[in-house]
Amino acid sequence: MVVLDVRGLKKTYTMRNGFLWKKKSTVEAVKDVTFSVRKNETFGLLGPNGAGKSTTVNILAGIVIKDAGSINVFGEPYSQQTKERMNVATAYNNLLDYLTVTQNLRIYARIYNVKNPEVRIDNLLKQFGIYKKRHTRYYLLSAGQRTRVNLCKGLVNDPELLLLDEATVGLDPDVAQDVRDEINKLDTTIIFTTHYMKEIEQLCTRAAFLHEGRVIRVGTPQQLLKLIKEQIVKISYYPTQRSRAIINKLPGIVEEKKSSSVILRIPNTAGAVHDVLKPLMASGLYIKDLHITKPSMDDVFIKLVGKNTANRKGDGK
Amino acid sequence: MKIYRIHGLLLKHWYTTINSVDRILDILFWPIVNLIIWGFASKYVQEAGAGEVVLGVFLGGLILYTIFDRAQKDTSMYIVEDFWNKSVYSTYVTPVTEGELFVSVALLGICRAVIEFMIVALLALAAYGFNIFVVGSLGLFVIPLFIFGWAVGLLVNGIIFQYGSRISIFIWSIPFLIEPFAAVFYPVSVLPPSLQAIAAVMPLAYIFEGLRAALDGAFLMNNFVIALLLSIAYFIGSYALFRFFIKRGRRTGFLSKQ
Repeated sequence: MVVLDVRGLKKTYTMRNGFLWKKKSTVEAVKDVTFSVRKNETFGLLGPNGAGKSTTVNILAGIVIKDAGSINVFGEPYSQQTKERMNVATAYNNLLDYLTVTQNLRIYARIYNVKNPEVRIDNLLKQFGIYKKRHTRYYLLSAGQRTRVNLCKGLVNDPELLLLDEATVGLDPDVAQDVRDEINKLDTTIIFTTHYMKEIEQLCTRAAFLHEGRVIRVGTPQQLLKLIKEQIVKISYYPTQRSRAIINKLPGIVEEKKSSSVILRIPNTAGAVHDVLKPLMASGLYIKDLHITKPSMDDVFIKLVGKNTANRKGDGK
Repeated sequence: MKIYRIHGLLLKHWYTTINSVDRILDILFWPIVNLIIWGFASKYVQEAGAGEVVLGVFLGGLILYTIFDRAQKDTSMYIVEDFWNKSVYSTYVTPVTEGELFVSVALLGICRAVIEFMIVALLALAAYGFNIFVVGSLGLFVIPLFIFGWAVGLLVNGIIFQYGSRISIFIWSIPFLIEPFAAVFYPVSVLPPSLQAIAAVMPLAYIFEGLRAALDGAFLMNNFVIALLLSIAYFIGSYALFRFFIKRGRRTGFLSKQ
């Protein structure tokens, strides 16, 4: 079942500089964004800064009005009613500074007409490990604690569609991992924007790559990783005449060769590593170290964004 | 319009108030300070031979003006609070509508204005023997006072939704800009003709002329009707502008960056 269907989304911002006499300029933040998200899917929107991720999420959140395109949520056109079944959490938003955590959450629980709000709030605070801070004023919380409270706010109405915009940005690695673990446990449809490729691999069932306001590729992390055709094998060995002869016969393209190590580029296929290891093992060569680097989403990102930029520059000429 | 969302917003205003010394003191401190200053000034002028009426004119004007002042400031402050807290995003991604926002601050303004009015009115009675409660017809003039207060408050909000909280100063300065034409402490006739023309389109001027007449035991029905119609007209215009600027803020992306 499709929970969200976005077609041909467009948004151009008109920038005005100056207070009274303003100079106009335009920025096409979203040029053509089309994707759909299925029920209980964690769908990633990723891309470099300025790709249009946050604008897309802001349009879906209802705080930015689109110029063109259609948005269908829960099988009906986007409206005030559909907003009641959604929620948003971002690392950039703030709650009211001088209110306690519980007071802030009570407000949103009431706005979304949550039944048994106190129970719901307590459960969320316990789930995100922040229950002890429930009577602390929001401005006294650390960045990690604020992120958790923001997530509690985003989940207070048990949304059927949760928008998470850069939810872990600026957090310490251990705190970010804790937050990712909690997000992973959520049983709802999530749209997740990030520019940390690792998060896409860890959290998302599918992802869309955005670049310069357009979706340039959609797929599962596995499908996206297959875009990278090569993997890297680094072998360190004792340098002898015999070992050099064996190394010279290994399959793959030599990326770098030193007296006691070699870096090979081999195809990103199931049997490719075996083809390298088999002659090494058979020869009885003493291997000091062996390191295989599988393609990561970072490689996919660089390949997609780099290639696209190159194409566009070519088009321009 | 949903009652539970208005309730949620009222809860927000309530928590903001009880967590802020500013919000509690501003319904006590300035009204009482003003009452002391104008009370003694009235006493002095009265004893200098100006007659009994001066106490009613000054204190009556001051007490009634607190209603307009409170309605206007609360309509602005409690909506702009999100700008000061950088929590605009959190509020405006919810299904809350402009109408619900307004109703919540209007209800809050009524409650706070009644509290402020009662404090100042009772203090005026206790300290200077001036009883505003005997001027019964004033109750009607409270209606356009509130409506015009909301209208000015919404207009200020609209400006802040256009330019941001860097011009929050308008919340406090607009009442001072209006006051000279409102004829709070003097009749419109003492103004020069050019300023009288401005006062003629100012609901407050009709209200405070009505107050002075009421102190003499008369009720100026015409003044009440004109004040009410003008207030409603300003309110409709301000509310339309308020909605326009919020929509514009969503269109330009301004709200998402606050």
